[in-house]
Amino acid sequence: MRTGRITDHPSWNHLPESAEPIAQPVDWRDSIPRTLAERGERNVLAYGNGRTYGDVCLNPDNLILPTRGLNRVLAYDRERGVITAEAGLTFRELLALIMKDGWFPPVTPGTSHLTLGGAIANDVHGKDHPTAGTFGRHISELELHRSDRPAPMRCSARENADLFAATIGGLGLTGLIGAATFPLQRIPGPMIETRTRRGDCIAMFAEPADPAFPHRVAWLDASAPGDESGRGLFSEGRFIAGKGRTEMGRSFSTPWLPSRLLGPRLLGALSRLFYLKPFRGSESVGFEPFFYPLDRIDDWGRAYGRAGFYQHQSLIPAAAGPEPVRALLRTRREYQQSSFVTVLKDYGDLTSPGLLSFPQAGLSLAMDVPNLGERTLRLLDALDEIVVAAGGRINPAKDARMSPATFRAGFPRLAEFSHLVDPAFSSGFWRRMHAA
Amino acid sequence: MRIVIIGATSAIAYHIAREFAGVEHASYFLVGRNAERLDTIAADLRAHGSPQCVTHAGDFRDSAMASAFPAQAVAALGGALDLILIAHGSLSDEARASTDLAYADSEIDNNYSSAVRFASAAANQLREQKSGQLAVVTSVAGERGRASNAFYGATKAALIAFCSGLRARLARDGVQLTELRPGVIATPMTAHLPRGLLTCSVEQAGRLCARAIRRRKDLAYIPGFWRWIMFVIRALPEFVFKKLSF
Ligand SMILES: NC(=O)c1ccc[n+]([C@@H]2O[C@H](COP(=O)([O-])OP(=O)(O)OC[C@H]3O[C@@H](n4cnc5c(N)ncnc54)[C@H](OP(=O)(O)O)[C@@H]3O)[C@@H](O)[C@H]2O)c1
Repeated sequence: MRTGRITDHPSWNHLPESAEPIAQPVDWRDSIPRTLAERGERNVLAYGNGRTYGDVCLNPDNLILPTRGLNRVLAYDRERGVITAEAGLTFRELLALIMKDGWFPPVTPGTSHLTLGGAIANDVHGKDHPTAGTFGRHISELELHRSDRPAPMRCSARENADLFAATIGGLGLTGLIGAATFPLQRIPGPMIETRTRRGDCIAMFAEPADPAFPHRVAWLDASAPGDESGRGLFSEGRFIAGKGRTEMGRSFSTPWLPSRLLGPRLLGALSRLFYLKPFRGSESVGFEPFFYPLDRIDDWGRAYGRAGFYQHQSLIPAAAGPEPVRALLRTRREYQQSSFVTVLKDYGDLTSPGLLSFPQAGLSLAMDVPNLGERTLRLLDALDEIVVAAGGRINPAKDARMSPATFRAGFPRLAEFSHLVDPAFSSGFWRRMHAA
Repeated sequence: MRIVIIGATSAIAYHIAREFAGVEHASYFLVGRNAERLDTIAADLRAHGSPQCVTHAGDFRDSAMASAFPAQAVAALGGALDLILIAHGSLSDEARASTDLAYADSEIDNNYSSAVRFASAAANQLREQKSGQLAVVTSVAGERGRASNAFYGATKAALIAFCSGLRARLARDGVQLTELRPGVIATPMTAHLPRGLLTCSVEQAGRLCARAIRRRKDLAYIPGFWRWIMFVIRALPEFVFKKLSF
């Protein structure tokens, strides 16, 4: 076996900066035990498609195991809608197979470029959390390769349930996920009927949800003045019957833009334009622009330049009410920073087996902020304080800088989880959370 | 459509196979050396639309394996073969091959001799059928031996010459030989090399190969721009070429 040095395994936001790891791709599940045995002094981490923002997918100075070669479908029951696939398969590849048969994943994240392994390890969710829960909640069984076990383990709610719970949302630290089984959802067709309203989206989430429209998401206008902080476009969607494209379009690549081009001013202006642009209150659109609006632009993170950007995704529990969300938006304004992608979602109370699963009933606010150095870090710390005071948490999959204390405050089952971490596995994130 | 693949666990071969599973719903006889991996490929091709996949594992050094496979494939798939694809190969470690001659021998056998054995047996079957197509994966490395891959390049050069002769012989019986000549494709074989501008994704390579097979081409560079790169490389005078360190 040759050890390759592949120079291009970044995280999605190009932060934090990190030493280049050694890459040892895994292309076959039967080679995993050998790869783990031959790691030497280094620890290892699976690397899927590099879509997490931050160091959850990085392993500086150590070994990463790129898993994209594990992209085979092991079983597909077209009639009943059940699939078993290797963990390096992306949602895009999955969709190419199942959509023409009238199936859709049980839950989809906001990009189709995620691998199944990444989706499990970060227990991703969609715009329909209140009715569908997280992706991990639908996994019926997974195959886990551990360095301390000679053979792969089958994990489910019944078998090795502790490792199953730790692996869902386990940030890749409990071993290497080889394959997973989950049911698909039947859809009437590939088109989505959407309804869009302009106004105070925080208030709109407080209204009772229309069960006919399970997908709900709000884009917030970062240029809104303080007293209108929650204003934005609130959209709801549902699959409808009828014909439409089931294949996904080709994507375009983005060049690197200068680092400070997308500064607060320009982002504010773009947000305002987007907020004020005419829109249709109701229309039908393809599933691709609805679920994966940014997937047509490869590497869109490059628009922020080589300095990169941070994403801050927090959860404010329902018990704290919506006020902390307004406080987060106000604080960003006070720090004179802007963001084009400011997204608000609500989570319901369907629980995930995952010990470190991020969603929990409440409101989740995500915003991208360009990296302006120290002042951006100060802003993010101030945001964390609001979140912690509200009893909330920060999503590790989007984090490049939270403090270990913030992490511990957000995830009460951390101690239970730590016992189940594979001794050979680690990540940049995990070491950062344990730095003195 | 009935397809036989020799070296069915190759990433390039697998992506070609997926094309024919999804569109033509082909049946497969998958030949390789690792039974577990062959089963994985078979499961995937079934999921992608193939009604039947039979796997067959064996030792490629054994010439009996090559002579026996056509009859086994016909029996397993129940009829005349439409396509036989020969795809196995390994990028020889040049430094090791130059000192460890037993290793050099095994590489030559794997990349050249075994490919010739399989191609000959395949040709006999297709000529007897008076139908079908043989596709062989060679490499641009076979067009000019480079300092860094003289062993590998030479085996592929010999294979290219063999394909050209066999193509002419098969044409008389209405059998098409398609040579697929890849440049640099991102597969496990090249995982240790830096990925550059010339590197083609394996998905794209699979599509291009499938297209060349469907169009019954004699030769296809994968991707096509390698034709022009190789034109230039072949034209370089020796006194320049030998100074190049690639
Ligand atoms: N990738 C490129 O850039 C490139 C460029 C030009 C030409 N090619 C040619 O393309 C073909 C496919 O390669 P690939 O890129 O798809 O690489 P790959 O995924 O590494 O596939 C190599 C295949 O060859 C098989 N193989 C190797 N040594 C063998 C042996 N001694 N006995 C039996 N089977 C053996 C492997 O079987 P196991 O799975 O059992 O190991 C595997 O099926 C090869 O002929 C290669 O020379 C590749």
